[in-house]
Amino acid sequence: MLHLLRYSILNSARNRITMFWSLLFPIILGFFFHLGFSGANDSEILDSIPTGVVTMDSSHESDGFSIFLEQMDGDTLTLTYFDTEEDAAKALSAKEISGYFINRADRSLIVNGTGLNESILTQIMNCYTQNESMILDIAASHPDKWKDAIASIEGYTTYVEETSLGGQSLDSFITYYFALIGMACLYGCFLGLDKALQLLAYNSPLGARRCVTPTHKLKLIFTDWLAVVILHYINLLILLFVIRFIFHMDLGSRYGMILLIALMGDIIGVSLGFLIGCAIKAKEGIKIGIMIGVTMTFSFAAGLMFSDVKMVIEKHAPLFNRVNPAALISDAFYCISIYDNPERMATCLLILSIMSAALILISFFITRRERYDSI
Amino acid sequence: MTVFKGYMKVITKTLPQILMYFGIFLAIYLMISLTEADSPVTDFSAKRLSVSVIDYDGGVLAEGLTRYIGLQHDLVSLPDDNNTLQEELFYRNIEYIVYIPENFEQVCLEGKQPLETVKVPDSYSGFYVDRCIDQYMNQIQVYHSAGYTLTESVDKVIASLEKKPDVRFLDVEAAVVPQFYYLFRFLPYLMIAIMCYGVSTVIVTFRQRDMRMRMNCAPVSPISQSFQAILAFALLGTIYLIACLLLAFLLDGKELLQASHLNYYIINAVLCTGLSLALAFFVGMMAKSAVIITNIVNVLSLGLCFLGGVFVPLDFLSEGITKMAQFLPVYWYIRINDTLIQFPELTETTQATVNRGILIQVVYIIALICIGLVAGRIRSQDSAKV
Amino acid sequence: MIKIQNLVKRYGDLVALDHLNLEIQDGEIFGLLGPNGSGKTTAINCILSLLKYDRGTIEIMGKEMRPDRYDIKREIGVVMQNVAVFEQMSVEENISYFCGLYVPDRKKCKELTEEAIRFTGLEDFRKTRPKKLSGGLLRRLNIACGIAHKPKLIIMDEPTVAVDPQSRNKILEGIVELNRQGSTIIYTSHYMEEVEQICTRIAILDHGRCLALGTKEELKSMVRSDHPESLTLNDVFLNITGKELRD
Repeated sequence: MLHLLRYSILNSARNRITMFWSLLFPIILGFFFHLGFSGANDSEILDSIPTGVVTMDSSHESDGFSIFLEQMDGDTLTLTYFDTEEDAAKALSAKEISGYFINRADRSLIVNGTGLNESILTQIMNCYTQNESMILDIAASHPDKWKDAIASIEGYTTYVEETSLGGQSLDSFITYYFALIGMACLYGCFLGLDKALQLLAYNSPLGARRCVTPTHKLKLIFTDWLAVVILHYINLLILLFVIRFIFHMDLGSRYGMILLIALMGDIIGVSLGFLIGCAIKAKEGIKIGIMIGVTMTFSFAAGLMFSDVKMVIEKHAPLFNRVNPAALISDAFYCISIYDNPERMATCLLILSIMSAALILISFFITRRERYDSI
Repeated sequence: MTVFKGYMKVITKTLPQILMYFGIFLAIYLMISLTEADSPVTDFSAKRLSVSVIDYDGGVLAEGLTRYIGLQHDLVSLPDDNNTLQEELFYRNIEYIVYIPENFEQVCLEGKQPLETVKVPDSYSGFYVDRCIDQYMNQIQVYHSAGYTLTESVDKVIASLEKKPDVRFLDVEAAVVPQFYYLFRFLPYLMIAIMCYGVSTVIVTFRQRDMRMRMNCAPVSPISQSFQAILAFALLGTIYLIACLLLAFLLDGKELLQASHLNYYIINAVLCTGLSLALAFFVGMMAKSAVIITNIVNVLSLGLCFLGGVFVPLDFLSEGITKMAQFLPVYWYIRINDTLIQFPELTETTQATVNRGILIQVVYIIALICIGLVAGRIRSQDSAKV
Repeated sequence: MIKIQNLVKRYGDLVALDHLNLEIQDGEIFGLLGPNGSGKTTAINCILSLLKYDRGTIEIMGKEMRPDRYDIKREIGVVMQNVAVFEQMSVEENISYFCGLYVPDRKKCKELTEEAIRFTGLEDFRKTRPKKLSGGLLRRLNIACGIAHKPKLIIMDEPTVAVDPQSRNKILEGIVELNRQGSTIIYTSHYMEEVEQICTRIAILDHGRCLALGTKEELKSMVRSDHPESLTLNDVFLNITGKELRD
């Protein structure tokens, strides 16, 4: 059996097309992620928000609100003063400012979007309005404590501290990499398909030749399956290494679990390819097309291109996430790295095991067929 | 027109793969529509999150904080069980958890100790609740130091929420992103994939040595053959473009017809199609076999789209990548698309951006075709030596 | 060696094998001729238990042939019409792999692989991959993979297609040598001169039936001719099967 295993691994490892899909393509995609997301975290450091101020009459030129805004000029805000509302509106339309305050008796803020800058400007407006009302209220009812109140305002501090529920706080783009690993696992299907095609007598003369040998069919099938599982596991280890040490993405510290999840993903990917190769009676090109379609669909649904997709599916069709192997693999990674939920991870792995077992059994059952109606 | 018919016959063989990509595109668009449908924007109000408050205190201050948060966000009552909370957080049923400690008043208000919070790891929206809690606590501090009792302070702070500042949109249309924007944004991914499958595969087939030699022996001039080939590809591109535009009209027709720059959207889409065809032509001239096309298509389409701003918005890309992306034609398509959506009325600057983007795309199309022709010629000469 | 009785195989309404009866003796080179679609390949696939058949029996070496008769399979070598080798493995690796499927002993397998490489004249190409081999060399590789384990029965389905005369000659010499060493060979081909040269007995199939069976002299005697001395097997074949086009 070792003899067969050795040649089987060698045969698959030298197939450039399948090795491209199972090894190189995920690394290339990871590289694109790395390039695309490398600057995104810098946007957490917020730039000064370009803001307009329109003072409607001179009585408000140096009032509390103006002073309040001036104190933030150059830091949180970059202020530009406009003489008229029309000028400010033009600047807002041209995206030169994120919003402008109209400083008059009934103060207002005009924005033109719903992004982070606009929300911060609203918070600033909110904060001032409430504080102003508070100070006036205190001045009216407790004038003797007015100075204490002002001092208290100047001592504003933050009252929140972020913690986790036991896991780690990782890079915000880690979900894309988890989806990528899920996809890479599924791409073992190319190796599985290639092997399945070499076992089918009706598919190729090579398949026919292997079918007439005295080696037990199940031994041939098992050896081939095991060979690509081993080969693809090496591919996944390489990918994990690249993600961790070349792209510097922290996948968590539970390496044993990571390797186990990768193995389960490997098995299900290879088994999926085996099944498609055996079960669908069509030309090789069609089978490959179906496989690409299936794996891309699963990967997309696991959030590979658009991370919110998984959550949308969870909301509207959660059952799909329970049977999508890419989503299960991604969830399993989530569970051990971010959320520290070994029970949930075990559930994911259990579902993956059941699915793998079903795929393998059906493939074996179909492929072990010894005679054909037509070749 | 035999050559034209031949090309069309081979193209139709790639229909299953093309339909698959169309399906993926439709799925992407529907997913995005569902996401947007969950949070329609009609006026400006700060985002509401689902928040769970774990109260170990139960006093006036704690209840006040819960009520204060509840007036601005959606409270979700959950047991204090780590597993349950993790699960709810994982599936985004809650997006924020705040723990109110025992002796809340002494620990936090007097002792100035922070409250422990948990947010969804890969989301920025938690900061809304952070600011909400900070505002409450700081205001309570002020009222309390001004001599109000705790109960009075809590009532005052909650009442202050009624004073909503006047925040308005300048132009609702500009503030709200219509759904067709996403359809146009993901168009390059679809077009590049489809054109490469349809066009590149055909070119590789017709460029096989034996096929090429047989075609050269036929009584059809090379110019006529090229013309018929171009006609076939142009027809393919037109059909797919119309299909995409029809899809846009079907799914979001009302918004699209009312869009300020419908003509520019269509021009940009035509350029995207032309770009994809030119790229497919280039790939077809370079590739040695049809099997390799699948590999090239996926790398090209995903690579160009990731770096060009299709999947990751241009604003998120780092400066270095943005500079590099400017060499990619897809970047300019997205730049035009983003400009059109952000500016209902084009200023001089923005009009220049649009014009520049159009020109660059045209240049890319011509360049890709020329390079493809040269590459094809070199490969023909090489294979003739065999 | 092989006994086929009343073999019937249908593909839907098409009767590919119509009560075929054949007996192949030990030690002979048995030629199987027939126009395209006559049922040659179908018959071979049935003998190899690759295809289900509707009726009849097939016995090899006195035992009924079934897919799980690995003892019988161990004694059969197959040279497919289309080259059936791994593209990613070298000549030596391919032969070693297929030999290993028949011969579990590693040492023995290695010896047999070497012998097969020498026998087919592939010594200079042992590290070469199939893509780099010429048509003739590829065919020789195909044969080496089928005969390395020294089977008692060798089935060769058009082994010399698209091969130059020198390679073809080498292959035919090899086949004769294998037969001399004790193997029974079933040989199908459209090249009549080959069949005439090496086959002991010849069967002519058409429409799934055996129309003629015998030595080449016996077949020639079945055909009336004004010049019997110049009668070729090709003439006999056309006479028996007719001149209308098939497929």
